[in-house]
Amino acid sequence: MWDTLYQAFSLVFNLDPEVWSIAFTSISVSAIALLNGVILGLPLGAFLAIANFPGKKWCLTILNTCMNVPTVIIGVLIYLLLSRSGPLGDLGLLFTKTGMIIAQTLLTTPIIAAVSRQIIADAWQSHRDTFTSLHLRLFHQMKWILWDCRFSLVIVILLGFSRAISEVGAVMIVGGNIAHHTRTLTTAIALETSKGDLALSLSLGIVLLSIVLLANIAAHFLKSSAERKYG
Amino acid sequence: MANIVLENIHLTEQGRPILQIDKVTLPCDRITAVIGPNGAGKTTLLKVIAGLITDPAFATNTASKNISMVLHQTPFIKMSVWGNLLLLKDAIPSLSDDQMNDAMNVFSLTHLKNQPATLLSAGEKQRLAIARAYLMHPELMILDEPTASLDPNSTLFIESKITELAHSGMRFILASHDFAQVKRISDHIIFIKNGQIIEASPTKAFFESPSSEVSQEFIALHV
Repeated sequence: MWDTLYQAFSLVFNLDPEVWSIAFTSISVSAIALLNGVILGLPLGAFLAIANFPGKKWCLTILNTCMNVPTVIIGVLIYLLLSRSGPLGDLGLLFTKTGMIIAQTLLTTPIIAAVSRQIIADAWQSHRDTFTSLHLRLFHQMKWILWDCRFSLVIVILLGFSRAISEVGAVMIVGGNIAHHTRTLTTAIALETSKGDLALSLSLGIVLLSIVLLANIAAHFLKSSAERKYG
Repeated sequence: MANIVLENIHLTEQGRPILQIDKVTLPCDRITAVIGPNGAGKTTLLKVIAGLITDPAFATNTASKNISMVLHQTPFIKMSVWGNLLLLKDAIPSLSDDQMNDAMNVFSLTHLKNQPATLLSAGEKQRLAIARAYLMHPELMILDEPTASLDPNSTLFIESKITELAHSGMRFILASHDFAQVKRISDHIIFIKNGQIIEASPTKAFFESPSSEVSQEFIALHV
């Protein structure tokens, strides 16, 4: 076990090209999917927190359901859409990073929208009368409430990032785990473990944990510095 | 500004009447004070006038008026004082930086321009909230207990600004528990209890010869 650990750390600190290529694929795919999730999810969360419309409860139920859909189900659905015989087969996106980004976007958007909605709904309780009194329109209300909650929403973004980068089922199905192309940290860990290359598997795990740890530290630093500044 | 007419306002919370008005005409001349015990329905009345509480059954003549309300405790965005004024530009695109600087000057906020609004003192926060409402140039400004929990200097400052603006034509309705303040600055009194408007009369007349027994008892208890 100690030998395996030593080899794993050696692979990481000797900047093994395979490890870092896989890490780069993981980070780039997850970052773009996260960006998409933020662009779609935060306004959706703000809208659902603020706006009143018929069927809102149903929308929230659907959103919460989407948040809990198993990732492999998303993977299969995207696979069906992108496969040659599927409606989007002509785009040739199956087993590409773009296909993986689409799958991860579908995973991050509901979680970002649902959790941000809850945070914004709480803040809205105190801001509603003031914003209404200032005659702000819905779009501007959404804009300012999002801005006010920005430091709390860092945690939501972190949650979305964790969801994306630690996901294995959907990217395995949609990406195909192709070496030097669509292989991510999680799919590579699954593969290398099944092959018995525990050192490489563990080194990839160390990189994955380090990324998540760094993201958490950055989020914590941002939130605590904001609390110091704004109380 | 014409008097305020409220009709068919019936609000309850868990069976308890919050505001019960069949029809009433309220004075809106210079400064009107809304007084009454805790839980009487003062804030609810102010929110109905401001249009913050609405219902299809309500009939009011306030919808077309430019009304701005300052809450008892205004929550601010986590930004500077300037940033909290800046959001008004979304509601009033023609609002200029000069007008905003002028409002900060009027309410003695200039030295706090870059301070986080959330960390201001209670008095400073209230000045900022009123400055923001002032920038909307409302016909009627509604203030919910504008000087509650403020020190005497801050109270007098706010009162002086209200009086100045009232002289320049702006109308005010404010809720207050401070009888001395009400006597100092208001022209009319609306007395409310248990969600019902008991009396609406000129301030002097209200304190010297209240028209209802409930008003008499309330004044006797508090003066």
